[in-house]
Amino acid sequence: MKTLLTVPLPSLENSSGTPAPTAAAPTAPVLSAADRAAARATLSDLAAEHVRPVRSLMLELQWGGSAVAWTVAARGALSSLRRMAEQVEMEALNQAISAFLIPLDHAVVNEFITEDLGRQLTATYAALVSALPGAFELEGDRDRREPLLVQSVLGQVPGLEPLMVQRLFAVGLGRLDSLLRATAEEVAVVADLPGPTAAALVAKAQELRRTAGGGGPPEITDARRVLEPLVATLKSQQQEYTRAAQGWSADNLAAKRRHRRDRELTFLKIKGAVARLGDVDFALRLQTYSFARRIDELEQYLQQAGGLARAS
Amino acid sequence: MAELTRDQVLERFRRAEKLERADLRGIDLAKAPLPSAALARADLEGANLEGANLRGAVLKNANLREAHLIGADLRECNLECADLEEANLERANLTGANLLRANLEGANLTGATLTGARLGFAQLGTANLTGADLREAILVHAELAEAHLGNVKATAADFTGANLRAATLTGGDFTRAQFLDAQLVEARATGAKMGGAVLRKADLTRTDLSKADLANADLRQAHLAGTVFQGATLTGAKVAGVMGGSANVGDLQVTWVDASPEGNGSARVTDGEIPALLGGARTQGPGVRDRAAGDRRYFGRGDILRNATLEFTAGAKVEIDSVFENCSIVLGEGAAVVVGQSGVLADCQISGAGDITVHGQFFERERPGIVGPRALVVTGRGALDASVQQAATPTRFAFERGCRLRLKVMKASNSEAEAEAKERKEGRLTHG
Repeated sequence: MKTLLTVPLPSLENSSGTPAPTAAAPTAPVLSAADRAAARATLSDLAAEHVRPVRSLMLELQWGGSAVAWTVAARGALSSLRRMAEQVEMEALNQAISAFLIPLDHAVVNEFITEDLGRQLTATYAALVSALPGAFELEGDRDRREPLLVQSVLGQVPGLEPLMVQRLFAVGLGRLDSLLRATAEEVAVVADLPGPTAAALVAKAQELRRTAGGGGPPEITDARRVLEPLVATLKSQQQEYTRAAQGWSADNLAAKRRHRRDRELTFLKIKGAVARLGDVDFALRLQTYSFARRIDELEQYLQQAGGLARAS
Repeated sequence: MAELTRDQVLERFRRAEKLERADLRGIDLAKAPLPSAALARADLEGANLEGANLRGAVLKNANLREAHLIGADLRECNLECADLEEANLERANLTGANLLRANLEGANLTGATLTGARLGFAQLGTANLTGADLREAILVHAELAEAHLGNVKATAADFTGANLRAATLTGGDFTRAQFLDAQLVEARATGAKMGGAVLRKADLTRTDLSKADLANADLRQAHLAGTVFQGATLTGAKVAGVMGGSANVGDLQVTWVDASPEGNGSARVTDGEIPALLGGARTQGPGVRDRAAGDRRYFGRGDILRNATLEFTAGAKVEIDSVFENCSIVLGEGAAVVVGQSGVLADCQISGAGDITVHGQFFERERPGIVGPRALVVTGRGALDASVQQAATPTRFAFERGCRLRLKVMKASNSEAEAEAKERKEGRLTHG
């Protein structure tokens, strides 16, 4: 049971990164040791969700992209967290954020993350993990996101059969970093895949890297821009499938199978995109629903995303 | 959405009330304890039953389309005629379940346990059964077209009459499984273990059995047109009456096969003769006689056989839709060879007192291209360019209107010099 928090905490909703005007800032109350501990515990809990863009940035960086798409959101999240850290006197966290913001600001300004900048981000991130592990540790998040992304990539490769997928995992190619590093020749030899299938797999994995930044479009952080066209496609495929399922002829059966496959492919893309947005729980929940319900849930999700966008 | 909540369902179950025909669409019953629940005809479309205990439940005719049943306990469940299309049954336990006539089209059964399950007439087209345990499961007349059965354990499973067209059986263990009359056309069974399996009368047209273990398998009367046996093990296989042509038999691992019609090992054939035997015929060797008299052989369309000498014994029925180049065919008394509409015999010779019917094309290599036939029939679409050397008993000829002939008929060889017919006919002819 946590101590009841009696100290007002700054809102973490404002992720714009704009510093609050000092003149208008209320005088910070003097905290007792117990209040400070309670405030820090609450901060730790809230921060885990709040700094998701920062973890996304670092995960993308680990997977091999430059992750520039997440820099603006990450900066906003860290700026507001820093203000809060100041109030609850978490000096180590404050310093760690300041250190991390130096390379991050370069990335924001240049809209590009060089190799050297990537190394600086990685190096300064270690201090963030050490200061607030519950919010900044990557292992848990990576372990939840990565399988969804891998599933999404593998499921979209034409000709990649279930047995081949098993072989890929068996030889250690079930992780994003290894998939992104591998060449088609290596995949073909190591996992005993036909050449064209291995080439298609590597190309699909590289698509992920291209959309991971490195000068690429930043839309992977924008739920509506990423998901709206995919949900529209899924909806139309669901209608086609339902139509085909009404008939009993061989043509209907063939059409049904085709639409089923199309629908599954689109859902895999959606699942990957949602996981990449960091909404792993939603992605996992979607898997348990029928296609009709998936569409309903996705439409609601997009409405909420639209509402949030308008509010901000 | 569902007419009942999770709590209401559990409460009704606790009071031993039936849930038959209940509308439970999309309900979340994950990990729910519902053993022996009465859910016949219930509508559970899209329901989440992950990890639920439904052991012994009655789900006959239930709608479980797109239901989420990962890891569910469905042992001894009655799922007869249930609709499980696209259900996710990954790692579900269906040991001893009754899935007779169930619809599992497109379902995910990866790693599921189906030991002893009854799946007769079930619809499993495109289903994913990779790594599933199907030991002693009954899949008689099941529809498994394009299904994934890679790495399954299916020892002693029964696939009699099942349709496994274009299915993947790669790496699966089908030891002693029954595939009697099953359709395995274009199936991929590379490295499959099929020792002692019964593949009698199975259609293995273009099936890839590379590196498969078929030791002691029963392949009698199986269709082997275009079947790939590259590197397969076939020692002790029963092969009497196989039909087909040009099976790819490179690098076979075999010391003998059994060509006895009874499959009792009384007619062992050793490895030098086996490739031709699997191709629907046998290469001529010293002292070799075809013991399987009266067999039917079929050489399928798209196959090419070159430079072979084939011998068919009395009463054999042979149909050729393949291309034969530079081949010699020896027919026993009364053997019948039919060159189908797709069949082309180029630079070939047929000898022996058999009956020859040409719907396709025959071109001789050297005169006489046909020696001693009992009957020669060329039908309306047939073409024949050959000299026919008659036996002591004259050949019966029949040429249908529309056929194309370049024919020279010669008397028996002892009076060849006095051949009475040197006519050379071209164009449309009626009877010869």
